[in-house]
Amino acid sequence: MSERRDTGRYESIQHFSNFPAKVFVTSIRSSAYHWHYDYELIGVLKGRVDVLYGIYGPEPQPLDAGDIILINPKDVHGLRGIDPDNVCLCVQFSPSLLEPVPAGMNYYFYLNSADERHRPKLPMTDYMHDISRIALANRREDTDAYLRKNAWLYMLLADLVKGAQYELQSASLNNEQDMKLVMSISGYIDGNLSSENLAGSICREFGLSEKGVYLLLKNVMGLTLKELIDIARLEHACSLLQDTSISLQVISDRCGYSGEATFYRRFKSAMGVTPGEYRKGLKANTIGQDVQDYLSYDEYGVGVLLDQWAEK
Amino acid sequence: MMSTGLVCCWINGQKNEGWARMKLTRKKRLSYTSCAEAIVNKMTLEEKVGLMSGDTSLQKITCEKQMGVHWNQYPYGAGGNQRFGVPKILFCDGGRGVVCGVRRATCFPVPIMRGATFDVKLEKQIGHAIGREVRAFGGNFFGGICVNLPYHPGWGRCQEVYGEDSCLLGAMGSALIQGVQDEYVIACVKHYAFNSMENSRFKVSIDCGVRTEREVFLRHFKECIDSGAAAVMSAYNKYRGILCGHSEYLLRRVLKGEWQFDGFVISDFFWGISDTESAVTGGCDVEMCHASVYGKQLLDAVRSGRVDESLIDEAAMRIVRTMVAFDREFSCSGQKAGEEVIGCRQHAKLALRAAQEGITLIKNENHVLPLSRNMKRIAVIGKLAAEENTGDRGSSRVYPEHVITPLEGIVKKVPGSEVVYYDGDDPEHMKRLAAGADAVIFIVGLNHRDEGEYKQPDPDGTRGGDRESLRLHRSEVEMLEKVGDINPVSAVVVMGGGTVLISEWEQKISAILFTYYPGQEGGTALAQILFGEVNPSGKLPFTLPAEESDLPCVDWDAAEQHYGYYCGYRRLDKLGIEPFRPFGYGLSYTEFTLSEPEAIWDKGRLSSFVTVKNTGTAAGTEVVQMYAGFSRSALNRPVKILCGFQRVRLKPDEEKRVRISCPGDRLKYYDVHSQKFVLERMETDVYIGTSASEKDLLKKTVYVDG
Repeated sequence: MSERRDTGRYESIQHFSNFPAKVFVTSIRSSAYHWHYDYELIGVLKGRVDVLYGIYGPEPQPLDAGDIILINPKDVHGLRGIDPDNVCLCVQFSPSLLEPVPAGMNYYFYLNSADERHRPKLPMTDYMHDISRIALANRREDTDAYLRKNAWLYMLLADLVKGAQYELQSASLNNEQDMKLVMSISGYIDGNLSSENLAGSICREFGLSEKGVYLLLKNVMGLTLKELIDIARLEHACSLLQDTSISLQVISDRCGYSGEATFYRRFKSAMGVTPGEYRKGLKANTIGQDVQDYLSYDEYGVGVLLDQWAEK
Repeated sequence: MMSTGLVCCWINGQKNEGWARMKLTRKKRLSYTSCAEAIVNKMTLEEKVGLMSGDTSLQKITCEKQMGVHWNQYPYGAGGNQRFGVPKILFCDGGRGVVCGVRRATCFPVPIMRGATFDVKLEKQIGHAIGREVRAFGGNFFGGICVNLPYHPGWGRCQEVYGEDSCLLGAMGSALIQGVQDEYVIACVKHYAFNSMENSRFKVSIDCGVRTEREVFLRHFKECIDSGAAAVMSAYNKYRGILCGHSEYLLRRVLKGEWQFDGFVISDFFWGISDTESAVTGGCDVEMCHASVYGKQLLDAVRSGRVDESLIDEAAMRIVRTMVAFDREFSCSGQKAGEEVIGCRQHAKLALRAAQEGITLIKNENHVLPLSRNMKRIAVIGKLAAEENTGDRGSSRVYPEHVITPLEGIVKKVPGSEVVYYDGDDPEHMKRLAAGADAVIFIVGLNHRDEGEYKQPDPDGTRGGDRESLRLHRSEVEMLEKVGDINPVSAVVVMGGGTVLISEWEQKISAILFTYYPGQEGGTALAQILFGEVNPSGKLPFTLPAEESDLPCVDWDAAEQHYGYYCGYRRLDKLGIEPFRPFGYGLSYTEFTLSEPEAIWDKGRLSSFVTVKNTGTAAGTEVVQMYAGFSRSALNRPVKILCGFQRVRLKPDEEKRVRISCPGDRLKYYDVHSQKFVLERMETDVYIGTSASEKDLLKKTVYVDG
């Protein structure tokens, strides 16, 4: 269904032929910056995750149980599980479902319950309700289930167009090229975290001026280069922390932190826990690798959670 | 120079001058009199009454509506006689095009926008296009020549007329009539008369002084009759207590008597007449479009002696003469009426041109417009940007194949830029958007919910009708007040069918355009003007006062309403009130200089000359206007009135000497005692310039004598 290409971090989303959306429930630990052509709604059923999404600023968007966020097509974003036992519901659908769009443009939604600035006209719980209903229907195999999940999917689309703040945007010519460049830079950062003067070597590697890099990143991700490097360090640290055989000192070095103290401080301020506490928390949970670093979630209890959010 | 002069003759509607090319003149039609008399003489009473009655019932129309057939989707029939080969009236409504069909007809800009073009030649071409489409839909009668003068711009149907001035209404109405009738389609002038209130149209009785009646409200109707209109529709409202459809004074004495109208009068639909005897005696020839007051009722009235059969003969003769004349001449012309003309490319081009010429630029500080086409990010804000806003949803609604919205027009015009649209709900969102864009275009104003024909309420309770306030919606005013000055490169596009007062927010915005309801190609025309591909040349066909209190008082729900002598710019002139923008005002991306004015009175005509030079850097069009003033009159007369106008296209540095001329009749006042139009022999002011404001006019005087 879903495949990850490390080069470019473009996530291809394929839909089952009988349903125009992809629906899955998962536990998110961490996912590097990536983008896709589909809209993605992420609803938190349990625990807490941070979403890194430039349109809401450089700070991570903290989503708690009951919160929901929409990622627009071709927007670069990242995810980070703050509670290791978080449970998230993702619904991904193609922009073609919203056609025809006035003037042949694209809907660009602002829907994020962690952001006070873009309140929808409908209650935020309506969107959580819609996606939970879709997921519940998706879990059943009755003959009506297929129709029902389509019905709820279209309810969701109608509620988005009716209630969410949105802009219509014309396709801009160079956006996709810029995005590819940003993804290459992001990949370069991941591979060279420990190198000195990383910023300088990026400019040399990609033939860009400091200002050029700044404008590019600001435009595509809403982040500065420093913020992007910080995030990459944190992501890498999280992933290295899974391997208990690696010492914190080594992790700090490999991630390019100037010292163990800095590593602790930065990690604690971003994740709310120290590296050591984070490592302990992980141990308590069984971990299975899945595409895009979403951890496949044990089906146990998912139905209960969905029922709970579908009722509210 | 010579061609300029000839155009002037047409626009001033002199009887036999310039109209000679019209194929179905009054003279031509009168040549069918004996033929018509012969037919009528052989007809039975039933047949004659049949000619006078509609055959589409209200019940049928209502039933069809429930089944999804819209008003006038096909031509509505009335009268006709198979035995004598008299065709039925096949009525097609309209104004901004032909109402018939679904997603087919060409939707032109509404007449108020065509008024803003001051382009009579273009209006005549639009008339041809409409005439061809009427024929192609199977019709032979166009009921969309609306020339009621708005007494107050709150009138919900201002959009259906050419503006607030009698000269403009007469000139544009005449041009449309000529175009339509050149295609052998009967042009029907409406609503005769005083129909300038909508909500109370079925009950209100209008009263006015005799001079007001003749000089202000009827003058352009007469011009349309002189230009050859073959049919007239009476109004719903009463005049001095009598239904216009029953008014012997309006229909028999003035229209058919004094003006020697040779065609026939139809009632406005269903409610235009209410009493058989009064309607026939009054001079209403056809009941539209059912047979309730006429039909069997009329037959009974004649048989019982309540109505003299000679009245029936007269009406029948008018109907037969007109219908037969058009039918025979159409057959002789060999003209085809193929459906391929409906919504064809050529008609779409005319619709585009009318929008290009009509869009009116009323403010452009720091030359904010035109916008560069190389902008990276353009914000378009306001719900109307993405709406197919072609005007009201009443009986003049046209159903075109496509409508280019402002947003679509802009997106297509700048494929290299990122265009972002936002509906404007949240001021904070808008502020962020405006601050981050290279230019902001606000699209604000009115749609069918706010004004237009009074109709069944929409689900949200809106009914069109008259406007209680001439300002924008509160939400739009707040939006412009809060966000208008965030980005210095901002333009506001005002949509709507008439005057919209803008004084409370205009200081915040550098550029303001009026686009009225710009028709199916409106979005394209708007984008062409915003990005400088077309230079704006439209002129306000109405005054933009600073305050509503500068206008006369009207109670939109009144049962009785008095129309005073002064309204529009004539009123503000007389009271010495400076408007926010004067009648006839409109900016261009270039500059024009006028010099060496001259005025002469010769052989009963007033002519003026002026040299117009394009002193700017872009090719452009100026509308030169001539006004006559009566400051030395011993009577109560306006400061000035429009007497003629001329569009002049000039390249940079090019200059032309323009002549504008009008018949002396235009200067006359109506003398109550002799009951005639009289010329005042005196030194008369002649103004020539680019708007109705004295600041934009050069003044001369000329001695006017008989």
